[in-house]
Amino acid sequence: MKLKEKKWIRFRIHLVSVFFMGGLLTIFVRIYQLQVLQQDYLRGIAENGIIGTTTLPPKRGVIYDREGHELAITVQTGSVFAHPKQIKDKIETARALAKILDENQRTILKKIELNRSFVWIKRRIPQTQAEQVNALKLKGLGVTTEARRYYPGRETAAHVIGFAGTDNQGLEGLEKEFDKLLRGPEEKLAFMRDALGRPFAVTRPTTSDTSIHNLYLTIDKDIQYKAQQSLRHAVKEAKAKGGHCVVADPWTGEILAMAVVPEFNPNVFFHYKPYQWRNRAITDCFEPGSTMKAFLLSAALEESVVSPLTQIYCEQGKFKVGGRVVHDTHKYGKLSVADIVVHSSNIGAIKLGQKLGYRKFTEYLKNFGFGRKTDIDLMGERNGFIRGAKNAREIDRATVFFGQGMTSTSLQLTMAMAAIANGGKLMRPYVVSKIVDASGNITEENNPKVVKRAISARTARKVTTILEGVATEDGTAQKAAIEGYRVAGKTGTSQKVDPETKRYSKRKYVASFVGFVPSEKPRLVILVMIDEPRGHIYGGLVAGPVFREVGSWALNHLRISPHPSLLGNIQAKSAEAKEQPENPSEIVNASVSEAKPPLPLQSGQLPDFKGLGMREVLKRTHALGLKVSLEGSGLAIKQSPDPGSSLKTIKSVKVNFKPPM
Amino acid sequence: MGDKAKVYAGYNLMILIPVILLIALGLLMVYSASNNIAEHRFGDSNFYLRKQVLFCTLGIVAMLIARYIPCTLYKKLVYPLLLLSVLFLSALFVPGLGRRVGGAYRWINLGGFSFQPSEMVKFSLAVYLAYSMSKKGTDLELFTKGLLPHLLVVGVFMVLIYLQPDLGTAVIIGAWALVLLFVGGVRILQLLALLLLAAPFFAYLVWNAEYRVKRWLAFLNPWDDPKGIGFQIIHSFLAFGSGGIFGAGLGNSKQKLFYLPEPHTDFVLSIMGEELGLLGVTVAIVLFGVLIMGGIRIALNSKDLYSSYLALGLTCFLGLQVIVNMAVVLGLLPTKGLTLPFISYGGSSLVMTLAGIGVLLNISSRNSS
Repeated sequence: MKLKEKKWIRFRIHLVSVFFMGGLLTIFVRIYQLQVLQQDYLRGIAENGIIGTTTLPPKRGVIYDREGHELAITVQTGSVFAHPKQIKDKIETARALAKILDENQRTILKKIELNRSFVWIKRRIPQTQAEQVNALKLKGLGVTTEARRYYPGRETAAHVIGFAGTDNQGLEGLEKEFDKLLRGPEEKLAFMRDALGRPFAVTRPTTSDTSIHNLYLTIDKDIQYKAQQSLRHAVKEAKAKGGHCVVADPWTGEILAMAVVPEFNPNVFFHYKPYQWRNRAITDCFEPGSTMKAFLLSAALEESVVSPLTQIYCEQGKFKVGGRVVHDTHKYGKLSVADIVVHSSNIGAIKLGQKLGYRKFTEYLKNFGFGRKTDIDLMGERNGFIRGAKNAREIDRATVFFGQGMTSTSLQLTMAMAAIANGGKLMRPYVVSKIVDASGNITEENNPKVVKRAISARTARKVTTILEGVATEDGTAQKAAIEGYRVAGKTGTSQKVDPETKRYSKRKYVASFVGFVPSEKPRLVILVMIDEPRGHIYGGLVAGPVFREVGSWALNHLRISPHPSLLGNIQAKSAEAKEQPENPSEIVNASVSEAKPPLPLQSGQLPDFKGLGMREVLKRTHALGLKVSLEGSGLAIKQSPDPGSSLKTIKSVKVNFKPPM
Repeated sequence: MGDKAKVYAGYNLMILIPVILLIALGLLMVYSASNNIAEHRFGDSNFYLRKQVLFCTLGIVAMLIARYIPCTLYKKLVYPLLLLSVLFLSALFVPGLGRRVGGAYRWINLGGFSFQPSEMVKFSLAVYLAYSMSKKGTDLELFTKGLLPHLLVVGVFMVLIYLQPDLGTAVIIGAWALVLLFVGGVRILQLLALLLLAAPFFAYLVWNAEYRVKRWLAFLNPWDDPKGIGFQIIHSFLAFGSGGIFGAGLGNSKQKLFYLPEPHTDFVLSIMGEELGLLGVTVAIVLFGVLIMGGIRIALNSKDLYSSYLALGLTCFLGLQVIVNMAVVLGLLPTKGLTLPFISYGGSSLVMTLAGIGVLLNISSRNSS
């Protein structure tokens, strides 16, 4: 069958072509209407419709602590703008705005009386406020959203994180260093008018391929908070200029906390002076003082120049060297090498150092990381200073053994002590554990890195044993002792150079304590440095208590169980110590009873231990004279015999522990 | 009319010349409309152009092959073709095979490259309707032999495409089938009754999905919410308006820079309007007009009813797509994701359209011999 034979089909096909031609004609008419008849009108909108464009600050990635708590986040805020030329009743508009925005009516009026096509009224206000403005539906007013950086922890870790500026650009700290990764795409905001002259704003990302990354830090928000709190308190009590406290994991080099006082609040960073933003724990060098004796000891033992028991005559507290007289605070005759460190005899240190030699000692200092950047992933780190053997006068060659005439940052000192703690390895410190992209993939990861071996594990062990003596009642840092744990460390009290006289000042000191705990299996290395304390100046007295407070809190926080055999002893001793007429500047004596208030205890009955930590249980059973066996870890959940049993019939008690959820 | 069609080396020039010119115009516009976006997204302003040139080459090869395949071959393969189409459409719902783009499964992944099964559906249905309608002849007037069976077959495909979800393509396929059935001799009263029955159902589908409601509202009054739902269409107007009669010149579109999303696909005509003006767009409309008339002429001159219906089906689909796309960017129809044949960026569409042109050329060559 051929189509030609079917007239009616041909007719219908012609109808179809008429339909298509009609359709195309309609299209043409419409295009003619738009492109010719409405040309001027539409072109006018296209050209004048855009009142202005502005670039919006980009959103930024989140900075988390090691447990995923947010340290820096981006929040959405509202911003109000106006097109002054379109506002008819300016006074009424200003009045309504002033009411909602809580601003001066006249300031707003001034803005909208400007002969401009676009003006910001108020930026970065809560979104609810912006919505109220929008609800006014006033002509010439518009609202858009804007991202703003917010630090929920305020001062917490502010010196590490730094801050981003008003345009969300990283200005200090990690925010600056990782700006490129944290920063999201820039957004362009175009202000347009529709055909009826009503303004509206349109946002479009202009750089779509930049993706936001999130940072995960090694910082523990809670330890950081505690470190800042204790340090702040100590600095205030000592009427000091400032201080640092660094808490690190000696095995990995992870920085758990890095506190600097005075603090600043990054949410309002502009209220502070630039020098207050500086992370002084890495940017400021100071003469470390007697803490260096720990490294002198390490070097001397490693080189087998002496043994811990070698006796050295300490000249009864006065020793002439290089035309000057060096004093000890106490007069000593013969002291063993170990005692020189424990009692911190400067004369003993000089004599010990002279056996080792200046050049050899500075070599060891360099192996411990002094005089060179630690290469931490933070900006602005300083080298510190060690005088070369050629330039050193005789007096310099003597004082360096007790840490004067050389400088170090707090971080260098922390990492050097960490090397003793971990068996002799100098670790590279780091604060960023990983960088994660928007879809959750890890793009960069930091892993523990050994810089070099400073001393042998054997020497490190020997040094540790001696340093354990420092935080006992014989040593210079009784106040650094933490109940239930062995502490090893070294105090330092160094004179500062008066910038005016260029001589050592008699009033300006740096008091410090750097140590680790538990010394038999170190988990934390903690440095405390107090700058220019007034009143008490000694490291043990001023910095020691901060070490104890931060240390005991952090050990508890990390659920590191105390050594049962140590509990009774120290408790007994600290009770004795309290009876001694001591200096009244005791800052912290709360750490002993800080954990939980004692439960009401009816005499003669076994108390309920449920919910208590191991340490607390040990303390209480010791006080009752009971033997105790502990099982599990965490908080007490079960005990036998049951609470309320008569104490007369019980000799021992068994307690089960379980980590809290 | 008759056999006076201009022919060169066995190619119908009324088809070939508009197709070549439209392809050239398409490459020009794809580059001009996409170079900014490509630079932003891939750091390579030629990204889309290069792919489009590749699709073009593939399409022309497909056209040349189809030109020499006798169109009667498809008739024998009509049921395998239909079955294959159903399989491909169903495969979209198999996890891993279907590729999700913008909330809908319209692409199928076949080791390395992906294509749209709905493009294949169009061809299979064209063959089926031509075959079936030519076989039934005057029986088409009967409801049970005419409208009903065809409606069922086409309906199955419409449902499958609607489920992707792609209501727009489903509706166009339905409309296209009605036109063909009308030509084939189905009574007009039956068609009108069908439309009346389908209208409420269609309305229900629209109101059932929020974005479809929004598109309708934007269509009815784009200026009501210029920064939201009316955004695209308004900027399409602005593009046409700023182009005027002579256009702003190639590469000078402002709307493509910032305002029109995806300027190189659905809204490529707006960019053409802005850059090449009324003159440029008119040239495109005339080329499409010539092409459609050429296709219809082939249908009129065919030697058998099957070839006539096949030529008409392929031409009608092309024409419908052109008119619907243009009507959308001009605000005459609500927004739907339909590209402009030959001009818009897109691989499956270009290759299948050119293959269809090849079939038309084959039918044409048999007419004149």
